[in-house]
Amino acid sequence: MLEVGPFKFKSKLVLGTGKYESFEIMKEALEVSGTDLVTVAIRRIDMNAPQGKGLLDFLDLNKYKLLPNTAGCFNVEDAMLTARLAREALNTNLIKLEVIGDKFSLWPDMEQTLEAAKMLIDEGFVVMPYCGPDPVGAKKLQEMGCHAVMPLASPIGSGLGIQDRETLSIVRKAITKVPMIVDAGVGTASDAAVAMELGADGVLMNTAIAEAKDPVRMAEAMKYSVMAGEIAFKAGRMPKKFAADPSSPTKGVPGS
Amino acid sequence: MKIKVNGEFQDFHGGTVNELLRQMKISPDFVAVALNRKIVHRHERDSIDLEDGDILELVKAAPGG
Repeated sequence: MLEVGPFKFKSKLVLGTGKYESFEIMKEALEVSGTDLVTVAIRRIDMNAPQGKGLLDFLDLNKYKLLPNTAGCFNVEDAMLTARLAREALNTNLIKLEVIGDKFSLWPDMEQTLEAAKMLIDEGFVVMPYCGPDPVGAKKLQEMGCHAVMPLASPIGSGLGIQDRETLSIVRKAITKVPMIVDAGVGTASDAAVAMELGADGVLMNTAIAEAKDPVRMAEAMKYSVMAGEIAFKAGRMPKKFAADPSSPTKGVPGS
Repeated sequence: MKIKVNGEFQDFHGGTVNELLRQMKISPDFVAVALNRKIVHRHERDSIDLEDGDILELVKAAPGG
């Protein structure tokens, strides 16, 4: 169970809807993954083709809660406008807040993220901010009343996996009041498992599935890796040692 | 009169936000409208008249992560 503000989700896997070869493949991948929270972008309607089938024709809204994002926003004003448009279009106060500070790395601008988060909370949004793996910034987001904190594992769409486990663990320790969802950078199933083993409450991903050779199979792998990582975290891993420690008795070896 | 819709100038004979949506053949469900960067709520779409030079954003959900 993943709880974000007043919302409860069965799955700890949050999936994006971007970059799929077709809406049909996306639909199948979402189904197989077991997710019940999916992200969408908010974009201008194409004036040359205002009708026709769109994303929402392929998303069963009885099955999935939509998490609109402010992707592509580089300042507070645009993020606020996008969030307000999202609430109006989709009739939800959930928002994945992204205020990007750098086009090359898509790194979040923490100063503006904090400012926008405060305004969104004041306007009654349930705010899930994307942030850097920064324990101080993450804690500020938590303390101001964000409903989840979503540090990146590596740059959006890079598939580089968890680049800095130790820092992410420190963020985990700082975020005690709301879910910490690792957002961005997962490349394959083991990355999702590692995120959960570090104690994340959930993992948000898009490209790792959409750009896999077989997205539906990768979606299935992600479902199990998130579950396995969570169980392993709860089980508590053995301590790491700097020398071998034989698993078989050292006494009674035949011929010795 | 001329209005700017999603970054492009359009001719509009005048009328409300809903009349513009109808002229553009846009189904009003799951669509949001901003007029000069302010949200036009659903219940306001029949009462707000557009004026020459207005800037509108018409948006919907799109694939994204």
